[in-house]
Amino acid sequence: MVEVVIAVVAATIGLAAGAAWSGRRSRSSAVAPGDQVDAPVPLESATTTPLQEGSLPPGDETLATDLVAKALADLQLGIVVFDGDGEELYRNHAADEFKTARHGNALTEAALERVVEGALIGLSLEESLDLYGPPQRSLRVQASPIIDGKNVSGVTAVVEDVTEARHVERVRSDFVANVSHELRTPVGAMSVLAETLADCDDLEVAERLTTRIQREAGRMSQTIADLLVLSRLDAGAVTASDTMDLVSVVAMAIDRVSEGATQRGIDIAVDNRQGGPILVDGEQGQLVSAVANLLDNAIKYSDANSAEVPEARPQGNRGSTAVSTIRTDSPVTVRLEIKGGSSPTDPPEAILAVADRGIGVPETDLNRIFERFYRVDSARSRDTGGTGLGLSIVRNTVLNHGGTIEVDSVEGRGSVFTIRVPLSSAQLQVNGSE
Amino acid sequence: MSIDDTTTNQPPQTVHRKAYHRELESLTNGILRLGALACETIPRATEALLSGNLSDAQEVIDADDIVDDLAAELEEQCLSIMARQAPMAGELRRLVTCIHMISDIERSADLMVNVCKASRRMFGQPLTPQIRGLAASMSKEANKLLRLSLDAFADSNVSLAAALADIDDELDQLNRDMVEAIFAHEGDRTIELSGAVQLALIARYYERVGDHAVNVGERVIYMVTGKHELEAGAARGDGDSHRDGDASDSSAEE
Repeated sequence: MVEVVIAVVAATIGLAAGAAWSGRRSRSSAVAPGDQVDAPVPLESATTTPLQEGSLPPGDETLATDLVAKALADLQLGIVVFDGDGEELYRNHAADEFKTARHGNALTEAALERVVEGALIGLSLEESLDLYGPPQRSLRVQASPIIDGKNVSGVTAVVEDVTEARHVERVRSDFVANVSHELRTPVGAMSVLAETLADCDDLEVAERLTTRIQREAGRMSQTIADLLVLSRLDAGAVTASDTMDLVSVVAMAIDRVSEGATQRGIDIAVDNRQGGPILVDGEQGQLVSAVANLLDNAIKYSDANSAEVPEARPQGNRGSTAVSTIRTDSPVTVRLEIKGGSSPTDPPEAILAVADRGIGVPETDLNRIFERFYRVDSARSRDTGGTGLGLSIVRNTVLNHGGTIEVDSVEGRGSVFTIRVPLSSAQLQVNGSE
Repeated sequence: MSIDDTTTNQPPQTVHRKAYHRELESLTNGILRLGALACETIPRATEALLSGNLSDAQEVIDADDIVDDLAAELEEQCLSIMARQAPMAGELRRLVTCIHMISDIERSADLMVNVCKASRRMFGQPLTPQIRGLAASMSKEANKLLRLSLDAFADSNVSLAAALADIDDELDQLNRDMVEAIFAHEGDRTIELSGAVQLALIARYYERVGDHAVNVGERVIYMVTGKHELEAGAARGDGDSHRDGDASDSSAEE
């Protein structure tokens, strides 16, 4: 896909450059002196483009050149064209950014200069840049000479943002590795245990082995059950649409996780800022599972004693405000409220946030934890159980309900998972009648 | 090409001035490039520290040669302009500022090399979530300060430059939090003494980057206004860190 785009662009650049130069050559023959046509200025940025230098012959060629220039200008790829002396002729909008020479752009421009220098002596060079930013970006900078006979008559340089492509690539390769790991581990364990069991004549040992086989089989069937849930969610939006109160959804979810919470001595507080019911449409069972899933994580990754850890000081402007804004005495808090609705472009939404004071999520993993089978720390998740699919299920459930989910976290201070779902029209009526 | 066309009709001094101004501009761009390289090393070093990845750490350490070379080259460029063009007033201040900035930026990158070396020394020691979170916050804060100081320089923005000292307070506070956390962890034996020492040093390295950024801000104020208005503040950058240092250094640097 990406290669195709580049090929097309390369062809277009060739055409544009070719048209520009051939335009210059053929000008005298096609246009009589004094019969000059004002060529439209294609771009603000192209101050020294040959297109502007003089007039081009009227007719299709002008139109084509103009269109190509416009197409290049709005391309996502950064394109810079130089002449044989390394003098810049053209730079499209996307490449303009690097000229500001600030921060990451300064480094991109430096890479651009390096590859262009190589291209001027006839080399096709490519450089990959991984910028940590912020914002974190991966760029590919590439330059190739335009060879006219024996000489380099020009250079085209292309800057491509490959951040998204890299991310997708990594997600895919990690997924394959993780899924095979998750499925192979219990199977491997079971086969070794069964083998041992076959040669075992001690009843006590055999009992222990069977218990472990059962546990591994349980894990496996849990994984498969979760996968089935996910594939059902993948099938699309919710069909059974009931109107329900989020407050009772939260109550049911808390009920579901209460055993684990009591075991670990963790208290769950509910902070309903709306003070009354919050109605949303959807499938109740799915939403309860999603909230229970978030609560389960909050409990698992919380320290029972964290409630006793005093908050050191009021949080200043430290980036992650959400982590600090919801603080109660409980280690796990569910906050419910309605936001928005002040303008037609900002429809009112129900907000459900689950905050904990647990170990938090490392920043590098933050945008990946909703991926299937993604583990921040595989050693720890083995202890706490779980299939590595919980958060994917939550995300898909929320998306199916027309909502969004995001996470904010600081390691060692806790995490906040915030779900936003559209309000039910019934709620709007309730509010209207009040 | 167009430059040649316009310059041929003008007196030679103007040609001379143009070349001079181009030199100044290229110097400014060079410094922003150096700053960008230094800014990049901060999250890189932090990732090496938090992931405990030795080859990442080595990469940052090796890449410092690029920063050093560029810094030396830029300094040479400054001196050459000073020697040949005999700049005056604002332009002289600009060049002097540049020379100082080069060393501040170069030092900041060196400090990140120190972070990598420290993380190499404490290889294999598990970090608690609290320490990891604090280190990540310090890194973000240090990176922000350095970036802002470069913005202040590039835009000759005096008010931003003056605000850097206040923004740096957050980083100083994080440093104190870190030292406190280290004491707490060492007290309950969640980290070993040797690890605690390295961590205290690491916190100090981040904190020093902030001080360098504040220094850059003060240079920018001088460059634009010609006054050392914040002389008390200029001393503050170092003085403050020494005061903080008492808490961390007594445990760390002995």
